[in-house]
Amino acid sequence: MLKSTGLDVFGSRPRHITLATEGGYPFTAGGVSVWCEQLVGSMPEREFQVVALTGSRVTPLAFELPDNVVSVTPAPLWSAKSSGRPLKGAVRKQFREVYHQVLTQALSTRVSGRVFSSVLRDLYDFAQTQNLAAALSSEDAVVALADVWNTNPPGMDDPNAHLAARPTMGDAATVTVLMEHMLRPLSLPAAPTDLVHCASNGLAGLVALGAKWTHGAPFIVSEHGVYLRERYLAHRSDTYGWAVKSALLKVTRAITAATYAEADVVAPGNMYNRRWQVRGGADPDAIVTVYNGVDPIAFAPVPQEPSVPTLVYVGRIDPLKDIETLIRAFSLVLEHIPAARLRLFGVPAPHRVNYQRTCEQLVADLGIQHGVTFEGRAESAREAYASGHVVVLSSISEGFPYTVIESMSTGRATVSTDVGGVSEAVGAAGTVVPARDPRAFADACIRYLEHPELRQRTGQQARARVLDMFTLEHSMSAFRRIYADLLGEFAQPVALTDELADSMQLARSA
Amino acid sequence: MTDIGIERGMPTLTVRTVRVGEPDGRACRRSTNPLTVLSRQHDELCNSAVDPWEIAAGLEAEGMSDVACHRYGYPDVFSLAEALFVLVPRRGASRTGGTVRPPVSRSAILLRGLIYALPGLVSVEAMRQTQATAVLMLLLGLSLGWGLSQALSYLGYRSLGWDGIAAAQRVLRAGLLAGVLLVVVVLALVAVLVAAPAAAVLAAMAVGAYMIGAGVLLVLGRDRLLLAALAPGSLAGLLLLLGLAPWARPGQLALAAASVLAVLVMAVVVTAAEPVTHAHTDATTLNLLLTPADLRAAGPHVLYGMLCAGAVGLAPLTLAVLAGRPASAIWYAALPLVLSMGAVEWQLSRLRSRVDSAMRESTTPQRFARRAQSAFARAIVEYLAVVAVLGGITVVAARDTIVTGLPLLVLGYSVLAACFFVTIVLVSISQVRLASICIGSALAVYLLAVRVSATQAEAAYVFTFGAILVVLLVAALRHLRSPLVHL
Repeated sequence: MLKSTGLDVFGSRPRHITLATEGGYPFTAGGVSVWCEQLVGSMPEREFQVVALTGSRVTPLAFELPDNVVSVTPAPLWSAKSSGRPLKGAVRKQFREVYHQVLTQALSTRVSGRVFSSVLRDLYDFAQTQNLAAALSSEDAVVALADVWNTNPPGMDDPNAHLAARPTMGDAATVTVLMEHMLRPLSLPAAPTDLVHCASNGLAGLVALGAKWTHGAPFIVSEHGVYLRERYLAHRSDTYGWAVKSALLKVTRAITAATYAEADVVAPGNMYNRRWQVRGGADPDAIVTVYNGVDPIAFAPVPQEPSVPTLVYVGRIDPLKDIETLIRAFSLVLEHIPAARLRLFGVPAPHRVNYQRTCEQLVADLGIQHGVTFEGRAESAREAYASGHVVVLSSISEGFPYTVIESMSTGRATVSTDVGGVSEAVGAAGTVVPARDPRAFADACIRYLEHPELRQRTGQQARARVLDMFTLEHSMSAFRRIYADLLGEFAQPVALTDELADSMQLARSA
Repeated sequence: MTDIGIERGMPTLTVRTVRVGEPDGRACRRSTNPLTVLSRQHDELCNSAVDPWEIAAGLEAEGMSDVACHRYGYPDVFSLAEALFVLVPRRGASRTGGTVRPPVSRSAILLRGLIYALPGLVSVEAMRQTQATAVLMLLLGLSLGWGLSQALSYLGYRSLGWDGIAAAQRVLRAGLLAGVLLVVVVLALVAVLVAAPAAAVLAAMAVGAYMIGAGVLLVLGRDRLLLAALAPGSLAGLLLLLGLAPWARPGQLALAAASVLAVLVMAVVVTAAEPVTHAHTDATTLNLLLTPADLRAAGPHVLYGMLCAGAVGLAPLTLAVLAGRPASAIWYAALPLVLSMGAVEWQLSRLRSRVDSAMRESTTPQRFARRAQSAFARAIVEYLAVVAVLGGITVVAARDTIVTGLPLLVLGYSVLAACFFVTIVLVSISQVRLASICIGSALAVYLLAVRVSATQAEAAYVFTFGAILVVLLVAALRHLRSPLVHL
C-alpha cells in the first residue's frame, strides 16, 4: 500500500512517537496488534519507538518491524523481580508517605483522575530515583494498605456490603504483590519522546503519564474495547477474595481515570465506548472517535453467490460470540428454508475448546447436523465471506468488529446483534437485532435469504458505507491529523498523499 | 395454601408478589417486578459486584444494550446497574481469597521420609570407604549433585508455577542432562588430578546423578516411582547391613547401580514433554523458558545445596582423615538427621497450613506476625523433640561399641538437622542467600577450628553449628513476619 517516500516531510528532525502497548504489538498477535501494525505502517514519515508491556518473558517478535520503528523496548510486568536492598531512613519514610497517599486516593469512594494523577506523579518521581519494586516488596507496603483499609474498608460506599468480610493480611499481601507488577511501568526510564500513543488505557497509560511528566509530551489514548470494562469482566472469573478484587479494580479505575484526565486526545474505536470513557473521567471535548478501517481492495466485493442458501459466520468459536443463539436461530431458518446451510469458520481459543463441543452437542440435539458445518480456521476471510449469501454475527459483546466491516466491504448483507459498536458499523446497510433473540435473528436471515434483490441492494449499500466511512485510510489519516495537531504541525500535506488518493480512487472504482 | 398478593406501582415497575406455600411449611416471596426478576437472573453478578460498574460491565457482556434497559424503565445500562446494586445484598462479598492448599496426607509425608532415608541404605557400601581420596570423591559427588538438584528444583517449580507442566518438563529434562553431564565431567577431571580409585569415582558419579534425577522426580510429584526405583538398592543395602546378604558384594553394588539407573531412566521418561499450549505460556522454546536471568537466580541455590552437602559430609571427612575415627561410626551418628527428614516434611506442611490460616484470618499486620512466628516456633520445637528422641535412641543403641565422641557427634548432627530445618524454611521464603551465608560461615569456622585442634572436632562441630542455629532462628523469626513472603 503505502511506500516510504524517503523524504523528510517537515524538513527538520523526525519527531519521535512512542507507541505504548500492553500484552500486544509487536510480541503477541491479535486484533489490536494488527491495528498497531497498520498504524506504524501507514506513517513511514514518522519514527516510532515501541514500549511494549509484556507478560513474564520477552518472546520473539510476532510482527516484522517496518524501518520506521526505530526501537522496541520490552517491559515484562511478570518477570521475577530483581532483588533490591530494603529501604532505609528518609527514603523509606518518603515511600511510606507517598504510597499511603496513592492508596488513600485509589481506594476512596470517588476517585478524581486529576487528583490521582498528582499523587501518582509523586510515586513516579520516587520510582525514577529509587527502587520502587523493592519498596513494594517490603512489609511497609502491606502495612500501608492495612492502614488505609482500616480507615477506608472495601465496601464502605456500598449500602449492601454489611456482609462483606474484613480484608485479611492474605488479601493485603495479594494486592501488594499485584501492585508491584502493575506499577512497574513507573520505574521505566522515560526515553525522550515528542508524543505518546497508547494502544489502550490501563498500564500503557502509565508510560504516557511518565513521558508527559518528564518530557512534557502530549499523548493520545486509543481504545478498541474499554480497558476498565474488560478488567471488570476478567476479575469475575478469578479466584481472589472480594476485598482483593475490590482493591484491584479501584486501583485500575484510578489509573485509567488519571490517564483519561491527562490525555490530550481520547480516541475510542466506536461511539458506544465513549459512554464508559466519559464516566471514567475523560473530557468529552477530548474524545475523537476513530473507527477501525479495512483495506477495500483486500476485501473487494464478490458478486458470485453460492448455489445453496448459506449463512456464514467468521470468528472465534467463543461464548462471547454466543454461537448457541446462532445455532438456535438457524434451526428456525431451516423450518422455512430446509435447504439452508450454516457454515462456521473459526476455532475456539485453547482454553475454550469445550465450547465448540457444547455447540456441536446443541446441533446434534436440535437434529440439524445436515445443515451446520464447523469449517475450522478460514484460509482467506474474504473467500469465507463470499461463501455465504448472508454474513452473521450473534455476539453478546463487541467493540467494533472487523468481521462486520470486512464482510460489508465484500458486499455482503449482514445480520448481527446490537452490541457495542455494531449498530454504528452497520447503520442502515444491514440488519441489527437484539442479542440472545433467536427468533428475531432467524427472521432477519430468512428475509435476506428469500429476497435476492434486497440482499444485493443491502450488500451494495454496505460496500458504499465502508468506502465512505470505514476504510483503513480513513482511520489512519485521522491519526495523522491528530499527531500533526498535537505536535503543532501543519496537518494538511500529511493527511493525504497523492499516492494514497490514487489508491482510494482505485478502491472506489473496484 | 396459596396466598397471592398484588401490589401496583409505576407502570414499568408493576410489582406482583406471589407467596407460595412450600412443602415444608416455609413461605417464600417471589416478586415478578421486572427489576427483581432481572436481579435474580444476574444474582451472582449483583451479589458479588464491587461497585455498580461491575454490574454494568457484566450486563453489557450479557448483551444488555442501553435500548434494552428502557424495558426496565432506565435510560442506560449504568443507571440500571446502579438500581441493581442498591437492590441486591452483597452476599458474595464474604468470599475470601487465598488458595487453600489441600492438606498433605500422612502417607505422602511418610513416603517423603522414606525417600530421604533410603539412599543411605543404597549407599551403605560406599560409606565404608575410609581412603581420603575416595571420601573426597564421594563428598564432591554429593555436593555437586545436591547443589545442582537444589537449583533444578528451583527452576522446575518456577516453570511449573509460571508456565505449566509442559514447560517444567522441558526445563527439568534439559537440567537433568546438563547436570548429569557436569557431574560426570567434573568428577572425571578431579579423579585424574587426585588419582582416585575408579570404583570411588563411579560411586561418586552415581551419587551426584541420583541427586539430580531424584530432584526431577520429586518436583513432578512422582514420589512413588522414585521409591520403586530405590527399592532394589535399599533392600540389598539392608541385607548387607544386617549381615544377611545372600549375594556377594558385587551383587549389592549391581543393585545399587540399578536403582540409580532406574531413577535416571524414570526422570528422562517423566520429562518427555507434552506439547506446550499457548493457553498456558507465551514461551514455547527452551531459550525462552530458561533465560540468563533465570539461570542467575538459580546460582545461589547451587551454592546452598553444595554447602549443605559440605556441612553433612565434611565432618566425616575431617574426622576420618584428621582424627582417625571410623567412617562407619560417623555415618551412623548421622541417623537422627536422615531419619527425621519425614518429620521435616510433616512439620513444614503443618507450618504452611498454619501460616495460610493466619493469612486468611488475621486482619492486622501485628496479629499476623505473632501467629506466623508462633507457628514457626511450634514447628521447630516439635521437630527438635523428634530429633532428640531419635538422637537418644541412636546413642543408646550404640552404647556397647566404644567410639570416642559418638554422643557429641550425634548431638552435632542433631543441631545440623535443626539448622537445615530453618534454612529450608528460609529458602522457601526466598532467603536462599541468607541460608547460604549462615551454613557457609559455620562450615568455615568449623574447618578453622579443626585445623587448630583435630581432637576437638566433635565439640567444634556442635559449637559452630549451634551458634549459627541461633542466628538462623532470629533471622527466620524476623523474615516470617511479613505476609508478603508467604504468597
